[in-house]
Amino acid sequence: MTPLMKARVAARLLLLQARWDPARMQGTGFAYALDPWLVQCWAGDAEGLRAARRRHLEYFNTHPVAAWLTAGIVCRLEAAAAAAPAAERETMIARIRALKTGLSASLAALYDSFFWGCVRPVSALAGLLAAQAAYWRNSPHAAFWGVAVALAVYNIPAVAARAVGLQRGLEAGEGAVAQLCGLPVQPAIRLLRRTVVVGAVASFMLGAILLGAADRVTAVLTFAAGLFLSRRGLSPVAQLGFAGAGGLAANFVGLWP
Amino acid sequence: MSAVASCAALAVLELDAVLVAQTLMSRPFVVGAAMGALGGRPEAGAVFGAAFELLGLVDLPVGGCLTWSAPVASGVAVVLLCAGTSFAPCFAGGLLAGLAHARLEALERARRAASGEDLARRAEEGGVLGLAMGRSIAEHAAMTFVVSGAVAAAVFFADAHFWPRVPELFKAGATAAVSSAPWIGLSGVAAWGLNRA
Repeated sequence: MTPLMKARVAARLLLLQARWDPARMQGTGFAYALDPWLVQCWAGDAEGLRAARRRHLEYFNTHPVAAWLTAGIVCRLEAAAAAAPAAERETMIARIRALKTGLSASLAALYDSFFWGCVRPVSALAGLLAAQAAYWRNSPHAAFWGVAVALAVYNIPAVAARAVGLQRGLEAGEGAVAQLCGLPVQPAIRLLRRTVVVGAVASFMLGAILLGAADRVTAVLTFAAGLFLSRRGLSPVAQLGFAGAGGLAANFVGLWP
Repeated sequence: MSAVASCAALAVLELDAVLVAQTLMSRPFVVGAAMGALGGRPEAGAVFGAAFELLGLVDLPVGGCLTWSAPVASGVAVVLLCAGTSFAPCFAGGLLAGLAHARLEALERARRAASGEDLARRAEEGGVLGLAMGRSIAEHAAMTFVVSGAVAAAVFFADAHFWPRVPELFKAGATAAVSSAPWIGLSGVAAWGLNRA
């Protein structure tokens, strides 16, 4: 694949979910991303191109970052299928279908845990802590620093995973998945989840120090109650309702504000 | 005019949440700071954005998950704040806009699914997918702009005409909910991390 073609596929993969729907999920976006490559691979075989487009317009769903690795592998397999003799083609196409389905589900589980479940909360808390630290140092651009840190902490690994995923998928095909399995992802997930807890508590303490004594007591009580209720499955929005009712009751008996 | 420009910027930033790229430019913290900067109050915008960020951080955007749109909630709350709306109605307006946006997005997705088969048939011949993607992005941005603008206008009007007449008792309840939001959000994130660590 030429660098220009790679850039075209990559740019289109950014629109993977632009026409997300419950029936095909990312299927339409995936077909759109692969289309320039399919046109090149199946040039001179109109029926083959139609069939290739049809199979990639089917249901497809994975993590947006994992889609880049899947796209790399599928591009490699499509080129091989288009170049294969007609007798072997059906088997190769069946393999592309099976691989896409199996790979998208298993990669989604891994990438969701890592990127949505760990890197996203860590990046948000890092941004929050950076903004708080900049505020403490009387920086006039505390919000800017918070935003910059949050975006960098998420996007540096995410952009790298996208670029490397597409490249390794094209180079190694299915072997790229075996290389991915060799990475210490689960220990990293455990470490990042612990970092989330530490970051949340540190951010709470930094915020609470800024408050007056009375507000600090309220903050500590709210945090403790929130921790208890959240661990029992009550959503944050429902807890806001309880806080509102509590404030109303406290005002009624003359305790607050 | 500034509120209209902010709603337009919010509509563009929100595209990042699902439709385009997913670089987290649409996170409530980022949206809050950006809307605050446009309205001349970046720090206040970041504080509001951080509160919504923490409240929405444990909702994983997987599959068809659509509970509420935290970026829209944050953006509308900060637009209202910059327009001089009282603190509690800003927060409530943001939540309302986030919930309304999620409901409309669900309808938008169902409509895409209904026309998906026809599109797939035409796409086999090539050339129509780019147009369909562009149209989908434009429709979604327009929906975000209309929802955020309509909710912001309604809450701004309600704040000017009805909020001063609300009994102090209820104002105290609303203030308690808003001021406890960051602590509830942080405790939720800590509990979520503890449950999985």
